[in-house]
Amino acid sequence: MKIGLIGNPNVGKSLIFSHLTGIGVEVSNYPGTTVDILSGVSCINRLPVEVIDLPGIYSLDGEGDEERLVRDMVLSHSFDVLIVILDAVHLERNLYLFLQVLEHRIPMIAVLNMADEAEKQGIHIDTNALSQITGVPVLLTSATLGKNIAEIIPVATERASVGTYQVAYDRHIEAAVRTLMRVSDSGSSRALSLLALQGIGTDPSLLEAAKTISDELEEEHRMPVSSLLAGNRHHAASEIHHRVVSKTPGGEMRGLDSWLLTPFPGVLIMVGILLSMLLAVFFIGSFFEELIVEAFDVWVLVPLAAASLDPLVYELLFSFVIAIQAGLGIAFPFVFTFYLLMSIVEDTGYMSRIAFLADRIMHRFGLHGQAIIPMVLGLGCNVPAIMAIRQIGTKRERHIAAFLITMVPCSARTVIIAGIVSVFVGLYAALSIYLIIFVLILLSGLVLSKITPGTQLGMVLEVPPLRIPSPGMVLTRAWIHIREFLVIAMPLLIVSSIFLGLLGFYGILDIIETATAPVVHGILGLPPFASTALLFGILRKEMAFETLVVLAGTANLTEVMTRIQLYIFALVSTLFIPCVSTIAVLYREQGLKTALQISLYTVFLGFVAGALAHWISTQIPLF
Amino acid sequence: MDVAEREDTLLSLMRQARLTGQGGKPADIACHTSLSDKQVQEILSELMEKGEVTYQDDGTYHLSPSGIQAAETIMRRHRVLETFLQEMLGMDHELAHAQACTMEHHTSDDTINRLRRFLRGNRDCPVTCPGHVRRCGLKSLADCAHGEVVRIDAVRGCGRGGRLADLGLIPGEKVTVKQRMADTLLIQVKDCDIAISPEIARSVLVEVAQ
Repeated sequence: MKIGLIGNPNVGKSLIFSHLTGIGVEVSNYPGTTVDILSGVSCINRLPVEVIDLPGIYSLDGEGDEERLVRDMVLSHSFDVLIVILDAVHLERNLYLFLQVLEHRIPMIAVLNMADEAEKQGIHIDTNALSQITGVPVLLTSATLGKNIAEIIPVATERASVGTYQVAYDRHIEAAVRTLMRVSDSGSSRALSLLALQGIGTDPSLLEAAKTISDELEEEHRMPVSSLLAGNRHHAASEIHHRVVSKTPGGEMRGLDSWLLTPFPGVLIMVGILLSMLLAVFFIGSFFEELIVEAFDVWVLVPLAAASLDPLVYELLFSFVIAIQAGLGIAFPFVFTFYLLMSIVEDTGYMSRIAFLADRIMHRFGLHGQAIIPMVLGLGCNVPAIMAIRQIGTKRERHIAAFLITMVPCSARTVIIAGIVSVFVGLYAALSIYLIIFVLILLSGLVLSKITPGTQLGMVLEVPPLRIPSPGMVLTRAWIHIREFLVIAMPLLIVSSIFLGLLGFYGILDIIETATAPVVHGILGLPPFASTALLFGILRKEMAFETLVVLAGTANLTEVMTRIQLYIFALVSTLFIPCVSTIAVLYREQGLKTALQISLYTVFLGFVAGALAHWISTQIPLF
Repeated sequence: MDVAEREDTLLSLMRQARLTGQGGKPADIACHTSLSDKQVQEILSELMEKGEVTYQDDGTYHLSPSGIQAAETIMRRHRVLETFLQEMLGMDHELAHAQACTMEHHTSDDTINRLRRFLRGNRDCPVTCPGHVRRCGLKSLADCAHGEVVRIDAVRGCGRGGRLADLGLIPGEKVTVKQRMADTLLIQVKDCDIAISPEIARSVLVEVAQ
């Protein structure tokens, strides 16, 4: 038996899902989208029941990825029972989706979640009346308190029924639906006819008939059919709402929001929160990364070197281990911390407040408020930041965000800048590299927002009430993302690491060094071995620094390279090509084309910036 | 006193107040309305009797609250007429404006309301056309101040129109502007808070709720 959870965003759907299924959740991806579907198994009377958490949507008629996915699954009868989860506090708005789902005539039950909050606000809901009106069993639950959650599956499996309520549409629409239901041979349903009137569906003859009628309807009403339907449904929802909900005037709390959402002190609070999140990702991440890298060095790499193996076997094993080291070094410290913080910000509802406050600034980059969090936290690590952009609005915005985030100097690149430039050249020189990068990001943002196809659609984002997140949910989400990252990035890391190792083993790296020497030495003014260091930086950015030290044969780099050379090396390796893990998630989130474009673009930027710096240094002696 | 002359005087004072934040001198009004100084003086004293205009010592005249209301009603009539002439009848902007300027004085409120209802259905205008947004005189959500309560008149155009309707932004719905951050708005619809970007707010036409 398959049960689907459907509902608006922010109604506590995911929390109910995790209550119902516990651990062992599977994440599957809908082909061609980045929309995740979670599925898990719940047991009733020793029979397994598959529960699927559909993405939160506001309507079944929309054109967004999520909406289309849910509609396709509902239309293809993928579920035996649907559980519609509604927010008891905002019942009227939630009923809109419920009425749409009712039209599809699938056995269902309605769950009114957040009963505790509704009670606090003096909202009383007559569930019997609602059940009678709609013909569907209604349960009042509170996921945060765990109230009535145990009833959901039994009620869904035993009492789920096809609703009896029908929205009374405008008489012209009703007439059109009657006509359409007769058109196709198999006899289309009411729901399909309504969708066809909005140009949605697969049956060409039905769609053609619907097009003629809907043109006429639009002409007559001077309004698109979808708006007419929406109006009728909202009207019906508001009528039902009046019949089942009684509100005793209670204290409407806005509380914290009067602080969080105002220009002052809201913006200050936002900056403070973003900064402390960044510092947390940065310091917690680098601390644990160092531990993991150290542990690998001491427990695996040193014994491996001492084991006196056949050189080829050693090279292969060594490359394999450093790939694992790089992967785990990002996964646990950075991805985990990032998603821990991210889930907290999201589940409390603060995310949409940040989006509101930052919308104006992000507009300059052709982005919206939601993009600020991945952009800022990208300073910690690009990998989870890129995984997070799937939540940002349209394709165009995701494209721009992917470019810009890849350029944001992550903590590994900070290690290079700090370890090379501020130690050997000076603090101001290190800061100047940051300045150069931020100017480049700004310029790239301005250019990209002009040249990226698609128009800039505005942000429409619900700002849910502030809530306390559930620790279990936060941890689960962080874990799911770690797993996802390891699955995507590990194979690529291992392959590229072994590839580089073999190149070194067969002396091809030396050939590459000689071949690239004119570029590296002539244009960038760097010693030839710098190209190998840059190549290894692709595995893990700090490795550019580490390899440089190994190749130079001394930790005091000023002995083998001039200060300007060190500066240029740091500049090029920070800008130049993202690390393999970043490329892997870019490929996964944005597709091969964008991943290639971004990689080439950053290589180009790195070389141009390096060449310019070299050229300037030959003209004016700076250091 | 001629209705047109009276209303033109009110509008001229309103325009003066909007542009400079100060009252108008009779000479300015005469210049705007192409009436003679003497006529203007007569009209102004009549308006003062009615309590729609007040006189201040520095020689300028100001609109009283009731005067502002009267002027706003006329402006609204003007906008509806201008929009109708321009969008529905396809007249030139300048011509539509000039016509609306004379028609505004003699059109009954009932006619204006009917025209507005008729215009509500107009979907042909693209949101993306910036000149249009400026010219289409009806107030949009983007013009609303903090704390204002308005009713949606129409939602223009393409793109996110469907999404807005799904969130409850449909004609006739009451909207409260809860917060403005630069041009981004936080609005409350059907008890839910929604943040919307300026470009979307501009496509939602509203009128002040009674």
